Amino acid sequence: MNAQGSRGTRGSHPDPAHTAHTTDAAHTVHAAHTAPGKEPDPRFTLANERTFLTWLSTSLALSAGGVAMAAVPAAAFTPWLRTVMAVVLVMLAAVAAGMAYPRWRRVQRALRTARPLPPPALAAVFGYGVATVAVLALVLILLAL
Amino acid sequence: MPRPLWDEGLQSERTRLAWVRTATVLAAGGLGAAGMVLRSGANPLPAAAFVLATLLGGVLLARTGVRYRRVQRALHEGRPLDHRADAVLAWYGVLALAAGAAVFVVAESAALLTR
Repeated sequence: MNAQGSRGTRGSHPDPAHTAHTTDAAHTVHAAHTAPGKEPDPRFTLANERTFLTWLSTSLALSAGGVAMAAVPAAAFTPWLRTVMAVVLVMLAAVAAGMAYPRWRRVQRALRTARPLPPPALAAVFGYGVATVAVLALVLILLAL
Repeated sequence: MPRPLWDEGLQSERTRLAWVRTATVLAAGGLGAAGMVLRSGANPLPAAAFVLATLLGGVLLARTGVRYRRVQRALHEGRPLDHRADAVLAWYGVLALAAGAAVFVVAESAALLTR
């Protein structure tokens, strides 16, 4: 509980139980502490955790957008187009939420084994998906004026 | 006496704030969505998912201090970090909210298109 070693421990986390077997066993998905490799720099662990939380927040925002889109008064937008936009948003939300945890574990495993991080899968899908919905919504708003 | 900072990047503090942000949005979003669904008199099934999300968000918010102190202690003592339990709770909460939103959107759209 006291403040010993507040700086010196950074980056070198002795984890003697796990340093022996470094490779092999990229299969154990749910085992940070029984997993191979050594404990990564805690700063990277925390950054990975924040990235996970940001994916969750993104999913929450997309869900909110989908629900809002489905809840606007029926007369405001062309019904089928509104439905398409709402469905796209909640599907993006589901994908973002669904992949967040597995990706977190995968990144943590890559950090432990000092391997390259998995590529930012689906980032383009989210960018283009949200952009499409935004442009469509803008067009509909302008048409409704 | 306050403990000295572990690093100048304020990693643990930023992570704590990220937890607070996510849990707050989860709780508030779940609450708002549940209220909206119940007021609109629509299918109450999504409301149950939204309430579950709100509860999980509340639990995560309540655990903020404990989680932060545990991270600080692990950092200062050079022990590995692990709070997978909280992460799984957050994940379930967000999944519940996404599922509720999907059910709500499908139900609303079906009602709208068949009208």
